[in-house]
Amino acid sequence: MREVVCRTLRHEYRLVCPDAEVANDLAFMETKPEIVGAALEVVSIPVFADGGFLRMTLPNGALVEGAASHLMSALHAIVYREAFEAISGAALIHCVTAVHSERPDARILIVGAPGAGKTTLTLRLLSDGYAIEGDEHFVLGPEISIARPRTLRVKAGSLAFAPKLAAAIEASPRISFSSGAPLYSVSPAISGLPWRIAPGEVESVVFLEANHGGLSRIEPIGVDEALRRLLSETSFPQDGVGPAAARLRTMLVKARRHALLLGDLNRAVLQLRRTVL
Amino acid sequence: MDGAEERAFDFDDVFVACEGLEVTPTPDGCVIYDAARERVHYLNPTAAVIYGLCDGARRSLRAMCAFLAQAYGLDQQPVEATRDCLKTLIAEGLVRPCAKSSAER
Repeated sequence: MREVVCRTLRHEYRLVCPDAEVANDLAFMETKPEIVGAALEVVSIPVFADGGFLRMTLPNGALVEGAASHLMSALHAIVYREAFEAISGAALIHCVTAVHSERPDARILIVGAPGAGKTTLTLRLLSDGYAIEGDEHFVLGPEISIARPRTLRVKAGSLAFAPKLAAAIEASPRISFSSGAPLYSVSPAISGLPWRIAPGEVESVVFLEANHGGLSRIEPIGVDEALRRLLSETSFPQDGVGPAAARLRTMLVKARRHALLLGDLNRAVLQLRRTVL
Repeated sequence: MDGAEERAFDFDDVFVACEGLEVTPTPDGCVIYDAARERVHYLNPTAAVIYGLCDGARRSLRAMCAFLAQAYGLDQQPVEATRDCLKTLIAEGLVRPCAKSSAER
């Protein structure tokens, strides 16, 4: 028996697999950060292999049967929904959450539209002594704010930008797109630092804009401009939109705010070090 | 439209905040959520003060301007700025002109 562990902010789901092969098929969902201060409820979900198909019963009683990808989709739906329910009244910011290993309280949110270079920069930061708490959402709540646990999702094309980590990324669990190209599920622990997620304040927010092939340039931006950019990357709770939006603005008033035109990665990291961390 | 946005307000007009709005203070003003329109508004500190003066106490534009001049230590009453702010608040559905009573006319 082997377990695939998937932690959320409330639960630790343990997929109890009948053998190593099934566990390997489901390993893409493995998410095992240390979540500081969280008392996770353990939920064991036995997985059965039956005639080439896998079968599991979800906590809500629903039976899920099919290929590994089908089971992972079902679990992913639960995990995603929990992100909205974990902290009542929270806003969900679509961003990477990073901290520097020497200043673990200096939390930085990296925000950018798809294609802006979030994953590329994240891998580079991971290579340069930064710890990544999460690569998808930061949950901004009334009392607690914390990154949602999720591994980095890395396409093969990003490997060239993280040569030091390429071997570890290629050894990470993967799924394949219909084209056959792999998508890796990469634990931030591949950098050698433990994957640790702690609740806390945001010190800096950096908005990425792609400048592929060009230079990188970082410059401060005002609260209004930052809020305008952040609103399009934020999901609000059904109840309490006003207070959640006010918390978003309050966070931006307190934090340092920069726009990073992302081109050359060396220069980008250097400028981040000088201005943000 | 009742023409409130188009005409200039006179000094005796009174204003009241629209119903159903959720107001949350921030360090630099306030955020107002209009659930019916699904719109989020941010008011800077001065606009937040003017919005706060539309609190049902039936303050006239004249009273608001006098209050603001005193509060901010101004030599002149900020009549045009207050009018402009009220126009914006009305256009955004945050404030509405309030019918004056016969005693107020």
